[in-house]
Amino acid sequence: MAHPSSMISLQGQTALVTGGSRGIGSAVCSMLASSGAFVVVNYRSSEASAQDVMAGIKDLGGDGKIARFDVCSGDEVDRATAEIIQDRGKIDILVNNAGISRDGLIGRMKDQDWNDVLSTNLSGVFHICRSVSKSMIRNRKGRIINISSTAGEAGNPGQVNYSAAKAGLIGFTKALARELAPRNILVNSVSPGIISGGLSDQLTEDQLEAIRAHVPLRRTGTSDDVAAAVLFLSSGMADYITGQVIRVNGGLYM
Amino acid sequence: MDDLETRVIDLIAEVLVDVNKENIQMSSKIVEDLGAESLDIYDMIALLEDEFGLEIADEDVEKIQTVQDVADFIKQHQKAS
Repeated sequence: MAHPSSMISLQGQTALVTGGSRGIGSAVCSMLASSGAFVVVNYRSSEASAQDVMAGIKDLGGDGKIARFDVCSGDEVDRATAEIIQDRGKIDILVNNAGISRDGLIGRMKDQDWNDVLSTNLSGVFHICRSVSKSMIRNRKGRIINISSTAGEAGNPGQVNYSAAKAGLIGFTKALARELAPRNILVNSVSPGIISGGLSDQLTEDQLEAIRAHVPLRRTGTSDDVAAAVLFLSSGMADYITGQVIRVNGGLYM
Repeated sequence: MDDLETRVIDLIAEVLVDVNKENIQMSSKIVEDLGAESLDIYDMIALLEDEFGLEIADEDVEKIQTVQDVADFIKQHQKAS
């Protein structure tokens, strides 16, 4: 057996992380880059944040570049992935992290709130996977990690759109895992619970306290907690894991 | 066998790693004789499209059965372009 440190190394690999400029996405970018991967940090609007993430990666001795595109547009995605593949020769690791929330009770939820969330969180993943899988199939190798959410597994009031998209992502993950397994492409999902510094920052302190009371580990998670699971699934330590949902939620949902 | 036919066989062998290249004949049926599965077909089409700079529509894919069909398709469509 190889030493675990060599199994976790991503030296020579190229990773694409969508929504990489903030929160969980930026932690994933740093974690993968620290393990030796060349990381493409995708962003849609926050170029300054993406540049900060890249500066952080370079400070740690890592390498990568930033790439602006909107996952909602199949054309933009196709162009961006073609450019990365031309530049790097391949994409070894794809982390679908880009996500938005537009919360509201169902009676007051606008069509646009529903459509925007489904479009970014679910259709966006479809666009990227369609585009990237072609090159992974050629290479007979690849890792795809989709960031879902406890909301998609347990449901969350005020989030029918977000919960539906994240639940959909889990079905998508399992179907794609079966489809691509013959080509040694492993597809998994990481399902974070309540993570500080991310979309859950829109919650009030009282709401957070009430949530913590339900978490067996009695704390909210960090972006690094989630990024560690992504690194594991990207690495040689997870060669026999596909179609799974790895929950990083402090025991909130079992 | 002309150059194009040799290239087609090379490409098919590249996709179907379990098939010995010597066993690929122009008359071989890609699914029945060579054991290609749906993902292999998809991979093969993508590779042929890249290699020969053409687009192969789903309707055309359904008509292709043998290695010869692949070569014929490429010949026809390369002339057209």
